[in-house]
Amino acid sequence: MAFRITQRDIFSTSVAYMNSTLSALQESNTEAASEKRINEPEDDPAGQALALQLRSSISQLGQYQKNITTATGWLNLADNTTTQVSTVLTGLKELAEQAASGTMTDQNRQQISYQARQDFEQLISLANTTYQNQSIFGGQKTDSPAYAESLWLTANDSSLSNVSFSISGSTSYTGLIQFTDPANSNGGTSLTMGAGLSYRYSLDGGQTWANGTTVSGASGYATLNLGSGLAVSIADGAKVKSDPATGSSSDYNSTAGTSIWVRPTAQYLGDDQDSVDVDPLTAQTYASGTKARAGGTFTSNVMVRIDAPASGAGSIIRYSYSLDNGSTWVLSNTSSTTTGNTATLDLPGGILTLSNAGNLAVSAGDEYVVRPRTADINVTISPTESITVNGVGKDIFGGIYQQPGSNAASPVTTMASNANIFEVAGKFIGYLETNNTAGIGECLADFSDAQQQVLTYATNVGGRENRLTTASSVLSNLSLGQTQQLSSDEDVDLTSLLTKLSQQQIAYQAVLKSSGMIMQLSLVSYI
Amino acid sequence: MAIGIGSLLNIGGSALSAESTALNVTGNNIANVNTAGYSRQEAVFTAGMSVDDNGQQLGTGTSISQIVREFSDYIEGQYNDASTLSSRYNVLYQNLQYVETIFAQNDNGDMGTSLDQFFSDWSSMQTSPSDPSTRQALLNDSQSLDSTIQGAYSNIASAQTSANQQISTDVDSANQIIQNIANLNTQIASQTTNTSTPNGLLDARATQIRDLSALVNVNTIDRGDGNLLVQTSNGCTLVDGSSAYQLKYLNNQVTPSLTPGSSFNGKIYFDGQDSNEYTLKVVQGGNFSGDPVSGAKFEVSLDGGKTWMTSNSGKTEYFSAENYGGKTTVGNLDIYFGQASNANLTPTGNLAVGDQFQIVPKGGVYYYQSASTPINITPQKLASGADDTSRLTGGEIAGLLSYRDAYCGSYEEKLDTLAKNLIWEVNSQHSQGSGLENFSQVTGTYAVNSNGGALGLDSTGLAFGDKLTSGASMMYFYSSATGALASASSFGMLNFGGAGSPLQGFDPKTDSLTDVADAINNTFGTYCDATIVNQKLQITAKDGYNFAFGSDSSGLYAALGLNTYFDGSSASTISLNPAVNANSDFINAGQVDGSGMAESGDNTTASAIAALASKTISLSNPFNGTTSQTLGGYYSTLVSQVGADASAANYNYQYQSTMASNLDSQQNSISGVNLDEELTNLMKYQNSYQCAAKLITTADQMMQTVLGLKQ
Repeated sequence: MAFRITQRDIFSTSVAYMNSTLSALQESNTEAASEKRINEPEDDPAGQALALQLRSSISQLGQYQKNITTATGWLNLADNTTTQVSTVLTGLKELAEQAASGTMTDQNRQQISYQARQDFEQLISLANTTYQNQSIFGGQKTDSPAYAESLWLTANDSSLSNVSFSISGSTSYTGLIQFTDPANSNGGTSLTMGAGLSYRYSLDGGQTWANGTTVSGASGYATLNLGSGLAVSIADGAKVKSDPATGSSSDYNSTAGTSIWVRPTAQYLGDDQDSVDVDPLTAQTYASGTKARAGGTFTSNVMVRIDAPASGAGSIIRYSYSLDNGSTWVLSNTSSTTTGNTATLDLPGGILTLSNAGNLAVSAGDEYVVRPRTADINVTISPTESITVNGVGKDIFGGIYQQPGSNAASPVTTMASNANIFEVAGKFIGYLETNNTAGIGECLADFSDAQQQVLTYATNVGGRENRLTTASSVLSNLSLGQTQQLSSDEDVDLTSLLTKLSQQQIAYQAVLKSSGMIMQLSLVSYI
Repeated sequence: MAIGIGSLLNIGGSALSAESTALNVTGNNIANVNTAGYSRQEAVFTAGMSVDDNGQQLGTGTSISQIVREFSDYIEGQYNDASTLSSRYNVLYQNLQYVETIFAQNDNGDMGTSLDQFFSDWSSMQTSPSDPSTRQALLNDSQSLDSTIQGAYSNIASAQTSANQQISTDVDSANQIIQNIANLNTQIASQTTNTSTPNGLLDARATQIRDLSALVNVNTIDRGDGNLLVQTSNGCTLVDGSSAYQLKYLNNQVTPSLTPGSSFNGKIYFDGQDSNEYTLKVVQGGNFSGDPVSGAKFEVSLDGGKTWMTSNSGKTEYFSAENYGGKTTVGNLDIYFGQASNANLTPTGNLAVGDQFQIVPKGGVYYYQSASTPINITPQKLASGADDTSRLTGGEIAGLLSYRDAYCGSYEEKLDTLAKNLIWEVNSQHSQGSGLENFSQVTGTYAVNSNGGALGLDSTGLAFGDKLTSGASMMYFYSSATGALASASSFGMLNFGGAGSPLQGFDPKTDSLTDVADAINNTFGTYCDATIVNQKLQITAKDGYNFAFGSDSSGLYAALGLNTYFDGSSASTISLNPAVNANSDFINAGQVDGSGMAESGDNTTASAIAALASKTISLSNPFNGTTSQTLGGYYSTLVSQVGADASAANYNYQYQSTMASNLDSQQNSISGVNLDEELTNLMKYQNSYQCAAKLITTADQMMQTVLGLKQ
């Protein structure tokens, strides 16, 4: 404490005390107005950083919830659609049961065939379901329908099963083709496809027939014209049998000769995930000449880089790989020992096989990129999880599919041929419209397998929906917890704030009173 | 002897004049009770000498021997030490409060929310990758993120500019005060005598020293008689008696310090600005060709030579000394060597090991002792965080300079690091993806200095050149008519091995922009033409074809600006790639997959970019080292750093200003005027004056009596 008090001192200290109590009051005022303890970073720097992190995290959780909502929309729709497909298949099965019974007349079957056609159309439109204008069963090709109706051939002759053919034009009723060449110098009733064969065809289920002769089509093919623009081209050299007895009016369900049904099917136009390529592909080779292939299930590109040179049998190849497009690398992996000019490299999801026609050699820095075909649309629903929201139509409903790089379609082989829904339904319509009860009976059994195929997929969808429900409730718990944490970090405790405010108010009033008192005292008032 | 009446009159007279002087002094004190810087004065009475009177010693009255100025130089020195620091932290705190508002958390405009919204939009793209309104929302939010980052950076930059103006004004004020003190010293010297001190002038000088302390930290040594020495705490003499020296505020100074054996006779030049001071030391002597063996190399320190800049791997980084054509990027500057008279010509002499250069690429305060040797006294923070005591450490000038350099400069660097890493990480994923439309022409957005320089070298000047690694890059060419791959050989890796050679990947240490164009033409010349326009790569598809980019483990596409999302390489230049901005179809949500096509529902790239929100990235900058954090985490650390800095400045300010005001109180208690005391003195001297007047009256009556004796 100073020994002499001067006027300067009195006034300057009074002002200083008033300022400091008033500024404390003002700060509490700001806290009361914003209801936050941290109004500027300097109030609590570490708390501010935590608050920012929590805000960011809460906003991310909100985004995940949005994703879950959208994913739920997709999967609910898929769920409903597969249920409806199953219902349609049940309907078709019932039709098949009716049609297979011997008490049905041809006219009855024709009436049923209209219903069957309608059901087929409905199957296609169900497979083309869209969610927010995106096909849910088209793989990643979401901007166009997954399936289009098409025509296919079914034959009762197994020698035609691997023959390549094409169909142009369209028909609204199944076409039936039978060969009518009488015994000829080619060897009895067995014929080789080429120009000049006689055949008859019917486009109304066998009620009326027309005759035709094959002509030469595109190189290597013979074309059968069926009128109204419909034509079938079959590769030269295919073996068919003719039943001369069919020439007039014999049973067109006879199995003595080859019958070919031109019946509906659905062609899958979407995306597939059937194979994995490895770059560099055949057009490019490293100096060592080593080539690579990959096998397994990869969800996205994997980059593999050779770290050290290696050569010859018994050597081990050291490599690194990256799963995030080169951003981070997993180092120090070793391959299997090279034997027989081949080595295998282990990667998450599968293996990469290096091989060379000659000595297997690699140089440091050689890079291979595993490039799988992807068809899944994966949506992130939590920091560590993502879920597939779509489906690959051909792996569910079958049909026919033209692989990229090939020039003709073929039936889908992901499932057994009697679980290929569109093929089974198409064959059913074909047999139904031509009154082939034997064929209808086959389809009856196939419908059960087809339905099982759909129901299996429905289970898959249901499983995913359950995951979404769990994820959603986990997220909302997390979000709640973080919101509470944010509040306890940056919100002000109203009770203690109000107490503090009244304390500071009293302090300020006390300073004002005492300063006012001191400043008025002076010797001048006494002399 | 007749000591009697005459001497009584004299005694009375002396008393009268002494008392009236004392009254004047008291009156002066009362009048100046509110004058700032006034020290109270006190009259000191001394008894007159005694004379001999009939063997007795008689006094001869009183006189004022001196008027003492009550003032403590010791306390004043301590006060100035505290006030200089208080002043420094006060100006620092006020300015940091402004910076805080730039980073303030509000509901819409702050960077954290913008960043979150940006990644959120990419996450929304996962469920509807081809939806135009989702894409447009992403573009809008990206633009607002860009302008938020640019805005924060330019606000800090303009805060620095106004700090510069204030520093310049303060330096001028300081020089004025220095001159005033020197003038006062002259006057004091001429007016000080054995008995009187020029109190008013001393008060004026003390006030000027207080004002100077508020600007720079000074020590004073009074050698008496107006011979006052005023020095800055680091030893620069500002006033020595009547001589005044100057401080100057200068921009962009370069100080060479060559070894005796060096034959270098040119100058070092630089482009750019930075808040750090660069010390360059040559570690390998040579010429300016950039050749690894014969060319000169140097290392760089940002704290005056105590620690040297390292590369990402932790080893000391050596830069190559180049001429104008091959400017080397060091931190935020482009450095090159030229002749003394012409910057564009190569210097004729060579650099020798040990040559040093100091570059101050900003405005700094210099002390001029003689006309040709300015000494740099700009405040500097060492790498340990302590102040460099060989520079200014106190006063408003030091506060403003440390605000501009150590604080704002550091925030700008961190914003730059944030922007640069955001741009690189997003571009790195985006450039490997594919959008809704293929390209018929694409131009890179990043340029090089020289088409023939290897892309990974600093001297080539590619903004992200240091991120390039060896690797392979894929391209895909499609037929415009069918949309399918043009042929089985229309896609694959770029072959840097030359036409017809086996496949060879990209090597940033040897491959230049010209090599990249050649590789594209050699591998895919049937489908496109690659040229270099304005030192940027341009790829144009031939008629009937279009193309897309695929996986790229070398970072080449991202570094050249092909198929990227962001453009720019710092917080002030971050923006969107013009191609993406013009057409939202070029936002890459998917990528080319195993079938060679990129489908509209593919969301792989969108997922990868959305995942960057929570991905831990290694963020490094030259002055602050490397941390591994998410981008959002880096931003929140920056905000908390601003808060911590402001809070620390506030704390220091409160502490120092409390000390200063305590010391000021003590000084006041010695030199301040207390009105009660002065009024008491007033009454005291008034009484004495009346009594002294009485003496004269008495003496006069005695004289009358004596005169009346003779009738």
